[in-house]
Amino acid sequence: MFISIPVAFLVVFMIIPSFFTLIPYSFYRLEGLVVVPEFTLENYMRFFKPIYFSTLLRTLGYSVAATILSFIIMYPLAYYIWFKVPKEKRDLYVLLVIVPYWAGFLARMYGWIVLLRGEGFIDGVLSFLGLEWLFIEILYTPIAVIIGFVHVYSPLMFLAIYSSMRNVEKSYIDAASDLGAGPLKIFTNILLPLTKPGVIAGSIIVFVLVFGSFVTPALLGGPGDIMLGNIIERQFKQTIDWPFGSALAVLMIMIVLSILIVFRRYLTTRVFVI
Amino acid sequence: MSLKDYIFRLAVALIFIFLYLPSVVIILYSFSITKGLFGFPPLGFTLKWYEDMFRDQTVVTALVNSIVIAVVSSALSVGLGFMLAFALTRYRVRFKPIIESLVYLPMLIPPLIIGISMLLFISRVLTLKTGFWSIVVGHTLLALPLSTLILNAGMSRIDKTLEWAAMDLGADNIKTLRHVTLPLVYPSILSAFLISFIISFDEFIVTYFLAPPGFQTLPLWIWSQLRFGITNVLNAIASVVIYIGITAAVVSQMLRSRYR
Repeated sequence: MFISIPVAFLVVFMIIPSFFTLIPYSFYRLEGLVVVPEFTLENYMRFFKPIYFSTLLRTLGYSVAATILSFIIMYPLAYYIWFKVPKEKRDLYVLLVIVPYWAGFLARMYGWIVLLRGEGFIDGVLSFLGLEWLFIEILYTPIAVIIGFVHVYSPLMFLAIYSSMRNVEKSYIDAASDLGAGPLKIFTNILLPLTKPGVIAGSIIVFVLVFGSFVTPALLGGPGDIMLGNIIERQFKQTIDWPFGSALAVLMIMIVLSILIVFRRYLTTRVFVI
Repeated sequence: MSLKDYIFRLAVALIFIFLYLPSVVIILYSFSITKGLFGFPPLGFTLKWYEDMFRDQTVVTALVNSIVIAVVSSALSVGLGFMLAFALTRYRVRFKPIIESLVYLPMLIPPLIIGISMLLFISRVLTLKTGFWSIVVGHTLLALPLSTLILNAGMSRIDKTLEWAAMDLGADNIKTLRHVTLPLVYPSILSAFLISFIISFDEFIVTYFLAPPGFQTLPLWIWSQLRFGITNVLNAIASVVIYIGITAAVVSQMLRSRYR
């Protein structure tokens, strides 16, 4: 049958490597530089050292912060495009929001480096305006990392919210307003309940993608701002402790998969294609 | 318009500035002469950085590698995505929900995990060297979800009675596919190809783990610049990546919406 070829492809190159290679590897032992296939829980025990645990907490912190900020900027935008922009221009606006998502991942990181670095573009503008006292010093801090994450992933939050917003009719809001509901009440009692599936889907997507990152903190953060992904990357590229790296990766997959499974009914495909 | 509307508009404008500023600044610097790397304001107009880019043999090799990998993996992901979309929209498929979650998983599983598990699998289980083909496979995997989504949407939109008519008139399955289905979903195929192309062309993480020493792609080259020292040429190269990404995304989107 037609479908067996792509399914076989996915099983061979995704399921077998991640579940039947990575998981066994996480129980192997490293002796010197050699991986010995003997069962050990040592790799998992090492995780409970404070340095790794605090990294996990920081990773969760970045994920939560980026998710909330993406929601805060993209919810009003989705509202604006659906309710305030004339019908024939809506698709253009949607396109304008998602185009930056495709404008090169590392190129965008680089853009933030240029903008935020000391005597970078933003400082340049400020000193041009004689506002030296406003100089920002946030490159290589957690703030820069979170800005990078919001910039990279918030368009996906937008798509998810917008796909729900399209089900809300202007008349609902007018009716509530006529009956005396204020903006806050309209938001909490009408808009939010009707767009809840999109908000949840967008939040899950942003959270999960940030949670598994390592490039953004490596480029925009300082040495102390690393995430779980950076420690995994190091085990594979520098320390060459593949069993320990595998154990951390298994931990990461378990967290991501449990989130995806718990919220699976919100992750419908229409979230991604407008 | 009330004051409230003006504030709302201002907020929307600020969000768009936030989204576009990093790309705009890089493109600006790619055409200008500055004191040092990033003097302010960026002045003048020059194509020097773009010329330097094509004179740098490492960059040209990286660019060629990136394009070849992107073309091959896009062809694969469109082919596999077509099979999936065709089966999912035309036939009653057993285990449909499981297959669907399997297909969309690479979009939400961290690419880091895909990279290291492929590295382990290929180098330790198959005991092969990773290289061009493993990178192609990794990129195909990453592009497959969106490619399938686009083709699925395209295929569920076409009028199935046209296919039935062809079969009634004596065309077999293959003929119907070639002369009826394919021409009708052609825009979706092109759209899926472009999105797959840009996913691969811009892919860094999986490539980073699978590339053998000395093997360059454009994102790998940009990464090494960002980690070990930025030169002016980087502005031009990052700009090229931005142009290609934006063009592919816009054309892909237009192909999808025109035939809706």
